[in-house]
Parts: sequence; C-alpha cells; structure tokens
Amino acid sequence: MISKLPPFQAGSPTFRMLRQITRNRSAQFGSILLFVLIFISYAAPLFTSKDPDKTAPTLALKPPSFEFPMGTDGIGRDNFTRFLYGGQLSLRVGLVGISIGALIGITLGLISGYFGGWLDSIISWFTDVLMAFPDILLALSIIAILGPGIENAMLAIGISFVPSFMRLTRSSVLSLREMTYIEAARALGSTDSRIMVRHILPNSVRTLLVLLTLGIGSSILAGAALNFLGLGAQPPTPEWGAMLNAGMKFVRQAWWLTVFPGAGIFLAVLSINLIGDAVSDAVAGTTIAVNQI
Amino acid sequence: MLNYLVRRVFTSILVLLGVSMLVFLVIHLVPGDVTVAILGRRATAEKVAELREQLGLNDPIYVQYGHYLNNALHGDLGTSIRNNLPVAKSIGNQLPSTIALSIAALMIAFSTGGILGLLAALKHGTWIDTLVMTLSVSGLSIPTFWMGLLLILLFSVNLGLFPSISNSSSPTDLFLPALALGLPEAAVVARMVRASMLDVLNKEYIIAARAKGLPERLVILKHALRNALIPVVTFAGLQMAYMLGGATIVETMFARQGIGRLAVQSIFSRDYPLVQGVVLVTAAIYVLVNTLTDIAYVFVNPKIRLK
Repeated sequence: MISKLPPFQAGSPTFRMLRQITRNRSAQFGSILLFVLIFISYAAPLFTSKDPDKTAPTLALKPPSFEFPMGTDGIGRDNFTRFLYGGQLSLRVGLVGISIGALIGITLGLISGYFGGWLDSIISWFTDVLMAFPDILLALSIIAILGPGIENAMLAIGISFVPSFMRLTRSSVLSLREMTYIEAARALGSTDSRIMVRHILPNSVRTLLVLLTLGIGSSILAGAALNFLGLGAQPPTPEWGAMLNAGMKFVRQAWWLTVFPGAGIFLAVLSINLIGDAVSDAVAGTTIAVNQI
Repeated sequence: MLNYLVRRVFTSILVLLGVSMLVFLVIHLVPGDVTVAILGRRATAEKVAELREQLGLNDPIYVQYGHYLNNALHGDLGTSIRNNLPVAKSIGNQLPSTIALSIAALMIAFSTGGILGLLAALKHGTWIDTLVMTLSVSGLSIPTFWMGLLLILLFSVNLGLFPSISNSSSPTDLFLPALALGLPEAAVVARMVRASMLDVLNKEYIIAARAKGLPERLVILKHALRNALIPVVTFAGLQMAYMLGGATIVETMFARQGIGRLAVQSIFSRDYPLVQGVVLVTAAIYVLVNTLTDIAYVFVNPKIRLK
C-alpha cells in the first residue's frame, strides 16, 4: 500500500495540481479580478462615505461625474455606492447557492452510489425528474411555491444544482467502491458512514472540485437572473441583477444604471470561469499522472 | 438496439410521471393555506370555499392527483384563477412565439459557434484560436439579460436599427432577442466544435486520408467535419431546452409574448394553475426532445447502430 502523503508536501498529487493552477496565466488573472471584486464590495465603506439607500430626488439621473463615479439612479441614489454594496449580495448568492446544492447533492450521490439497489434507483429517478426542468425553470418553480425573496432564491438555486452534484458523486463512488483499499477498510470493521466520509469522499474531491468552481459562476448567473426577474432581492436592497432590472426603465436616458451592474456580474462570473478552466485542466492532468504511477 | 429504444422510452415515461407529480405538488407545498396565498387574508369564507372547490382541494390527495393526471393527458391543464381562461389555451397562444424565438436563437448559436469553433480548431495554437477561446469564455460569463441590454443600447438606442420591444416574429423583431439568447450559446457550441474537431483531426483515418493524397479541403469537409459534428448535433436537443428556460429572461426583457414571460407573470400573480401548466408543458417538451435526440443518435452513429 502506498503510504499516504500529507496533502501539501512537494511532489504529492494535490501539490502538483495546486502548482499547475497557480502557474496558469488565466487563473492568475481570474484570481486577482475575483479578489478585487470581493474586496471592493466587502470593504465598501473604504471607497465611499455615502449611504446606498439615501435618496435625493433633486439629484436624480445624473450622469457619471467626479462626485458620482457611476451616476445616480431614478431617485437620486449614488449608483457607485449601490454597485459596491450590491456586489456583496450577488457574490453571496453564488456561494450560498452552490453550497446548498453541493451539500444535498453530494450526500445523495454518496448514499446512492454506495448502497445501490432500490435506494439508488429511487434517488436516480428523483434527480432525473429534477433534471427535466430546463435551465432556471426549476428555480422558478421553487420560487412559485415559496414566494419571491432573496433567501428563497438562494434555496431555489441550491436545489437546482442538486442533480449535477448527485450524478457526479454517484459515478465517482461507483468507480471507487470496488477498490482494494475500500475492501480493506471494510475488512478492518469500518462502518459504512466512516468508509463514505473518510475514504470515498476525499478521493472524489478532485472530480467535484471542477463542478464546485464552475458552479459558483453559474450560481451567480442564476441568482442575478432571478433578481433581474424581480423574484429575489426586494427593493431597496442593492443587488446587481435587481439594479439592472430597475435601470431598464431608464435604458434610453441613463445607460450607467444598467451597464455597470451588468459589468459587475460579467466580471465576477468571468473571473470564476477563468479559475474553473484552470482547475479543470489541472484535475485532468493530475488524474492521468496518478493513474500512471 | 430495439432493447435500448424500449428502455429509453420507458425511462422517459417514468421521468414524465415524476414531473407530473412534482408539478401537481406545487400547489400543496405552498407554506400555509394556498387559498390565503391566492386571495389574501381578507377573503370571505364563501370565496375561500369556492376556490377550494375550483382547485379540487376537498378530495383526498391521491384522488386529486388522479384527476390532475387524467385531465392533463386529455389536454386539460385547468383554469387560470386570474382570468378564468383555460390554461392550455393560454399556453397554446403563447407557445408559437417562444418556439420562433428558440429556433432563431438556435440558428444563430450553431452558425456563429460552428464557424468560430472550426476556425479555432483548424488554426489550433495561433492567435485566431486564442481569440476564439477568449470570446468563448467571455460569452459563457455574460448574463443573458446584460447581453440583451447591450444589444438594445447599441442597435436600438444608438443606431435605431431594431426595435427594443419585440411584438411579432418578423425578422426585425426577432433579431435582437434571438441574438441575446443565441450568442451566449454560440460560446458553448464553439468550444464543443473545437474540442470535437481537434479530437477527430488526430485520428488515424485522417492521417490515412492525407497520406493517400486527398486535397486538404476534402479531408476537412468529408472526413473530419462529418465525424466531428456527431456529438455537436446531439447536443442540439439540450441547447433547445436551455433556450426554453432562457426565454423567460429574454421575453421579459424585450416585452415579448411567450410562455417564458407567462411563467414569470403567473408567479407574480400567484396564478398556480397557470404556473403548473407552463412548467409541465416546458418540462414535457424538454423530456420529449431529449428522448428523440437520444434515439436519433442511435441512427446517426453507425458504431451504435451496427452493434
């Protein structure tokens, strides 16, 4: 049996994978972009002293200037301040959504793949059914049940990611289940839950990592779409998708109300896709390397 | 092969049955009393009783599902709570508009994506390849509604070429919405065509075709492209499904008729029978298209057909 290498020791597969990701140009660019976006939204008070909800009707629809770098909206709120604070929610929707999806999906996938039999048939059928709702339609149906609101939108996005995580985990478990080290663990008297959590899950992480990173991007997009449709964050909460929706009314007079929030979503998703592509390349690279040992 | 077809159709029927159950449950999963959610707290007892009767909520749940399924199979999707029109009729009125939009978007996605992907694969490793891949990763990251908005700002507000409100399925009215829906998908198609083409170009039969002295044009068009397109064409089914979902946003944005906008409006007005109808019809179309694509794949791909 190969002795277990500590995960970050030079030469371990994980170390090689991380090195390949950190040396990838697009991933470097994506990480910097993402860091900047997170920093400016969560450290918003450093960049602006204004209140995102403070209205000033006399200053409505002012174009970008030194005082208002991104102009003002229909009721005179500073668009730049709302852009900064709006990022917090947009980015959080992505992270919370994917976490809910991963938690439920991975658990179902582990159970389904490990135990097999009728339990597997039922869970697989259920995810097939969920997958029959195209794109954001599943999220829309869940919002129809729970009603509009930001928490419900996060939950809806999370549930719509369950099938992808479940399927990927299940197929990974199926290939690992028959491995000798799993048999050895079972012979040593490990319980099913211990085998799943301590032996199968860590070995599935590599494949799941790609879905996790790229999923954050899709989750931000889905969240922004629900907010754009008015089904997520309710006024006056600043959020990029919701801001873009509100700005649509002034599309002919005030381009700054829609272009900036849209650019925020685009850059956030782009940064994650750039990192995700590098992760995907690195994972493919290291699995080949590991198989060759 | 017959065995596979029967199994494939059987799975689809099981999935459709599950879809109908989930859609049926929508009205029962609403937190609290659904009649209060629809009518508000001030509704009189009579009104509530009337609505409960109309929605059939007084029967045991399995009887209700039996009725629902039986009616749906006969084309009866219930009656809208807000305008008392049959749901099937409202959907039937809006569906052609969404289908026209999806087909136009699909054409844009496959023509643009196909050409760009092919170019990138043929010029692999050059600046053209890099440019196409950069465009593609940007296309994947653009929210549909921002794409639509930029198109409106450019073509409608600045140039005044196309309307920002889309009322019909005439080419000028369809152009911007179809572009907004199709271009992000073109990014996906370009990636697929490129990957598939690069894969095929390394195959031995391409080397053989070149070795026997075939002109490069014939090698690409007759041997490489035809094989490379198989996985891409089968992907069209999934793309079509994405369009049905993405239509919710594009239709809302361009104030265009269609079942996507109908879905969003019915969620706002808490018109549950209409929500259920739209979701059921869309999911059923998706399952149907997917099944047909899988079956078509068997016929297109000789490797599977001859087994």
